Amino acid sequence: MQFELRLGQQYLPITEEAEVTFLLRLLRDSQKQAAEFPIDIRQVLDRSGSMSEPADGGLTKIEALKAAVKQSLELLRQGKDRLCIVVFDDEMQVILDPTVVSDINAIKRLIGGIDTGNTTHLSSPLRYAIDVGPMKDALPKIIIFTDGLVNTPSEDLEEKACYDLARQANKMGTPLAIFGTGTAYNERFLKRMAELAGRGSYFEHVKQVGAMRLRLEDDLENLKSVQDRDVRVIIQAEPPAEILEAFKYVPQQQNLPVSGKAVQDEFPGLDIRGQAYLIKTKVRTGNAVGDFKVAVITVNWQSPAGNVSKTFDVAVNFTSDENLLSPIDKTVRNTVLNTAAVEATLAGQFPRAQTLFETSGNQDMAEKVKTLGNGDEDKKRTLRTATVTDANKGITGKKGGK
Amino acid sequence: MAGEVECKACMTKNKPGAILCENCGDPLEVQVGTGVAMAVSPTPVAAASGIQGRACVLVQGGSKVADKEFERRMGRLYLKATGSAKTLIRPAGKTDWQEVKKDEEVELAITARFRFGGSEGYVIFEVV
Ligand SMILES: [Zn+2]
Repeated sequence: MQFELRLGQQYLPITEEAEVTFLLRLLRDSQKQAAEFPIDIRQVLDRSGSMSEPADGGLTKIEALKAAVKQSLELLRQGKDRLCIVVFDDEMQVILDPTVVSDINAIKRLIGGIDTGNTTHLSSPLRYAIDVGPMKDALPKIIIFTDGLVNTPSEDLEEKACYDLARQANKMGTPLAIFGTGTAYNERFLKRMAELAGRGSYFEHVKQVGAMRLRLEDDLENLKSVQDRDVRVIIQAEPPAEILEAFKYVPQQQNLPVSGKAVQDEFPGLDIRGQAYLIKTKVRTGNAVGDFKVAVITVNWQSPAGNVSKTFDVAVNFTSDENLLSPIDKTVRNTVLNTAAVEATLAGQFPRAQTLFETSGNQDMAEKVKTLGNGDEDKKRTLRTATVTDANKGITGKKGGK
Repeated sequence: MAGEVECKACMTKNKPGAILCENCGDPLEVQVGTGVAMAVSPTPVAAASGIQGRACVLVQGGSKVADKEFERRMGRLYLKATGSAKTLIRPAGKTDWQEVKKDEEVELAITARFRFGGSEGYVIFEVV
């Protein structure tokens, strides 16, 4: 693993109180290969009645989903990766028990037989996918796809049951990738599930079901590129400093809670996208001069060679020499602006989001806010997913597939 | 107070280092440049096998590379000032940067910090 630390400003004027913002990036070691861990994919797919409605390309939603899943299977490595598929309406049906893939065509035939049914009941199939349990040394992932409101037996009971399961997934270290399509599903509920499951879990709105092929392929490519696993990052403010805000960016921008003087994050594997953290601190310097330690960063992970732990300081310098003062680092500033723009987008403050994206030079996102922000609910959901996923692409590594 | 940044929108005076106005959230008009990228524990300098070899450190968002040679002899670490970028080192506990002349070699403490200067900016990293 490689680290890059970028300070908003290295040299600041001597002052009573300052703001210090820094960007920490974790990157794969460019000189090492991926570790080739087995992948353990468990798919939980919606086949409720509404999945028979038309999707893109003249297909129904269920047909488009089945085609996407079948195509993505080509990326699984025979004799190495494990797959399990369960579908649900008001009842669940196991299509494929956890199986190390060997005959992909046979699995495709099983998927071909999936048909639509009744209402939406997610907790039982999700419980099944969690109870499947771990596969030795594998990187697990549960993929959930739905187009509906979980309403059987009731929305309240289902939501509560699913939140409990998401917490269980967190304990077991099994991240969830949750996809919703259309506007009938409850976005707040699916987002919350991803938050509770943590460890790189995420929710995404899918505008076109056919696009699921790329999304599933991206996920598989990312998992295949993992070098180091069980990564744990602790950013601890030094006493005169206080962490005001903390964000992470892979798989999506996420506001991290600050507990006491520290921020902590865990994720299952460092893949080709790397990881990035933006930390904003307030430092009571009391007119100190010279080097000033703001925070200590500790990163633990498991490399193929064993457990590794690295600790390093974040320090700035206060100086009276005006010639030494640094300008604000462009990458840090743009990340701050993009991050605030994403938050504004999520809060529905589209004009502010557009201004912030424009100031950071992110024309692509500014344009998206302008066109999608004024659109219908489907477009607004598309916009929210696009901003949290793509607004800060520049500070993460290459995205697999896309 | 020195280094305060006034917000053009609401006139609030912000602390040095601020990027967004703490009052209204608008972007502050600040001088922007390429700052410091610290490759913390860069490979291969701090490779598990010991600190040895050539340090390739990315400068300016990965577009430029500063090459410096490191060699470990008899348990000591040496830096040779090769490449085009100016080489500055700051011994542990000192506050001043000292230039290492081209092709000169210096012994480094394991905790030394050093800085590679050049027209494109510079890189600081610590050997850990
Ligand atoms: Zn203001």
